[in-house]
Amino acid sequence: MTQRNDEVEILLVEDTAADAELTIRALKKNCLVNNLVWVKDGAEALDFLFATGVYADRDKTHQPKVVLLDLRLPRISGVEVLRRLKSDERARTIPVVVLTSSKEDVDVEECYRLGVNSYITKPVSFDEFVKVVGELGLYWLLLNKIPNE
Amino acid sequence: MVTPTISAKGRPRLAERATSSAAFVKWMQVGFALINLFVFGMVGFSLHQSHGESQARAAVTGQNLSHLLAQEFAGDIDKIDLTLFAAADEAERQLAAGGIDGPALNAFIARAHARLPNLDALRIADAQGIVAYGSDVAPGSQVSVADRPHFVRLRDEPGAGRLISRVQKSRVNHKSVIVFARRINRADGSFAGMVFAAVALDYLTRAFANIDVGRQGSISLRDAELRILARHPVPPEPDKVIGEKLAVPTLEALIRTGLDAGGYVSTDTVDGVERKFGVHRIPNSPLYMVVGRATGEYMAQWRNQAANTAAMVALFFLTTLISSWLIHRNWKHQLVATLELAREEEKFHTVADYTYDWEYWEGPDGEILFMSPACDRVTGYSPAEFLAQPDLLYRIIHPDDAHLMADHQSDITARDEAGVDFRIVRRDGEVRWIGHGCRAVFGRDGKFMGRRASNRDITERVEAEATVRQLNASLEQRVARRTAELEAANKELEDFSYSISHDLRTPLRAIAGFARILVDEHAAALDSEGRRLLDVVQVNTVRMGCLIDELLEFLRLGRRPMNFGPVDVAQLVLEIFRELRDSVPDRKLQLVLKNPPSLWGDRTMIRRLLTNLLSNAVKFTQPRPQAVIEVGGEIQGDQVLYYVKDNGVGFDMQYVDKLFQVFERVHPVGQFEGSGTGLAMVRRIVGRHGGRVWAEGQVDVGATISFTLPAREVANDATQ
Repeated sequence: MTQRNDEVEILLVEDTAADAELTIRALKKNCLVNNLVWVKDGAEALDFLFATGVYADRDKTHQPKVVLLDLRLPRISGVEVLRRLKSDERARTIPVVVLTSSKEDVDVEECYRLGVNSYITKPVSFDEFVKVVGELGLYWLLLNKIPNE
Repeated sequence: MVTPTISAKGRPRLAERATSSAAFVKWMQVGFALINLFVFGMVGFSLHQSHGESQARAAVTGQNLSHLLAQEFAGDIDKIDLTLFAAADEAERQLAAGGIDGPALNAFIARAHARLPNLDALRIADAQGIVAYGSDVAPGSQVSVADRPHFVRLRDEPGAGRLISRVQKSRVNHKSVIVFARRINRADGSFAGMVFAAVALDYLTRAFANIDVGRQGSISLRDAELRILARHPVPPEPDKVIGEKLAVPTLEALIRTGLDAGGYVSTDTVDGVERKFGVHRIPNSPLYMVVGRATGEYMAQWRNQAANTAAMVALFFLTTLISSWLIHRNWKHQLVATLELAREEEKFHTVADYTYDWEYWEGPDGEILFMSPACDRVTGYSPAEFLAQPDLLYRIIHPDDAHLMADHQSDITARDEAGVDFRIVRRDGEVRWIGHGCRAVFGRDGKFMGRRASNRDITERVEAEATVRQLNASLEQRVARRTAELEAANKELEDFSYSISHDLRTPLRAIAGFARILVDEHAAALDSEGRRLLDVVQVNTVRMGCLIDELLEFLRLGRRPMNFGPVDVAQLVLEIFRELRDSVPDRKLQLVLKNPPSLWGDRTMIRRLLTNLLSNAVKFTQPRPQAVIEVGGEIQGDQVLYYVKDNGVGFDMQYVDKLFQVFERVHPVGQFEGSGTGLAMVRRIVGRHGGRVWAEGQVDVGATISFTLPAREVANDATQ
């Protein structure tokens, strides 16, 4: 986890350490864990993405290929992060995949309205979890093309 | 026309007028009766008078007539006497001169007879009674009258004078005659014979017939013994009358008095006709002339007059009777009409005066034409005050409500009927609410006649309504508050449930994930018991995951908006059944569809409901080699009943209450898969559709889950 920030491919925003570890392991199992940065709340995520705060020195032009965003976050919520991201002219092209415990979340609709790229319910079963994460990583990291790259 | 009335007092009483007219009619009838009585009396008196006069006149006429006839007949008798004297003298002279010269005597007699043509015969009989000379006496005739009483008497009584015989038949010419006779003496005074003149009764009768005594009158000549000598008219059987003494005691008594003349009334002994008779003795003879005038005849004129008068009187009586009857009938009709009118008037006045509400009639020019006494009760002002001051109606309106009445006034110009509620200030200052309604009044000719209004004191109602409104408002507030509270509590509870189930997933995922990692990466470090225990952990995390998912779905059912539409139940059941059958290919399942009707509901929910019921059926028929699942339904009034029946393991009815509760199971965990939310979900879905669900079962026989849904839900119920 000491890779250069300007080569980050995945930004994982997750406050629960266990979930973060499981996600990283799932990605790892799918060989997709290179250049992953894990931030623990929405404020940090925004700092990273807009190169502010502790990430002020980061090269803003090089953005992650995908943001894995938990909705329930301390300080700034996932929905707020999504809103800021999607309302920024440049950052809006970054694919955002919402990872949440349940699709019953009241924020699902809001997320779609704001322009989320995917919405994933984290299965309880680890096998399924690995499968789902693998599929999304494959898609967003390897198959998806984003403009001006 | 319209008479303003204030109250029942001082109103013209039609009934009294009817009574006084009854008295008038009664007096009029009495007057008619008196007039009739007076007329009857007058006419009766007058007829009585004329009756007496008529009788008196008849008596006088009869007596005069008998007198005249007697006089006339007396003259005839005198002439006959003279002739008899002359003939006797001639015969005596010839006897004295030497004997009778027959031809000379006959010539003498013939000359004498010629002077008296009325005589039937003039003859002389000799001393032996042989009729020797005179009319129709043939020479040598041997006819004897020696046996005649008058001959006998003349022969025997030298001083007998002139005799008049009874009616007798002439022996010469056989005519009925009476004979006047005189003695003939010789010079020495001895009897030499008799000279006699016969008067034929026919002659007398003819003479009488020339006298007008009326058609029913009679004239008769009687001798001294009152024997009838001659009579007009001639009786039908003359022999039984002529010569007979048919006389009434009245006449005999009259004659016995010795008077020469008299009169009497009697029924004629000859023909039974009642007559008034006049009687006169013929002078110088013992004969009586009796003239009778029939009462019926001489009274005929009077009777005619009386009949005419009676007819006139009867006509008068009839006229007055009919007029009286007509007047009475007319009056009776009028009386009936008047009484009817009085009753109607009474009725309408009762209707008008005894209204509970304050009623009035305002004329086209604003004048008050009627004011019901109830105004006193409602306003404290009397009807008289309203009648005297038409603007009082408007003055008592509460100033704050004056505009309401103004609006109403402009309103009623356009409409026939209108109403308004306003307040009035009573005489005692109390403010009351009035419910006013009025409508235009039109006469039969369509002429506008003002407005008829009805005012009701609605204060109690208005106050009650205000109270109710206030109560309703506060009730609504309370209900809204309680609803909000309940909604908040419900939301809180659901949020809490949701949050719990949601948050449970995160640690569960960690447990499952790390247990898995432990198995994957550190299995070698564990013995077999450790690996078994890790398996148990993993199995239970999976089950808990399922529980949480189902709990979430269950909760979602309560929150999800409903989207109503038509649902083809049979089609849906088939679809679901196929999916279920595909999931258990090694089992033998049979679906029996018994025409379940279509319904109106949320398709997604109904699909979930049917899925749960069918999968339950599939699940609990697992031990059966041939599972039979029956789905049917029918419309029952405004409900539709459905049932899903299986031949599975069934259940004990004593646990039926647990069947529909969340996470409640009636079979031990492990025997059948499932969390225990399936039927709870069914109940929730049925409940949200406004229906009812229940179950029947028997252990090892099967179970039937039935539910009803409203036959047609309102489409916009989706807001729930």
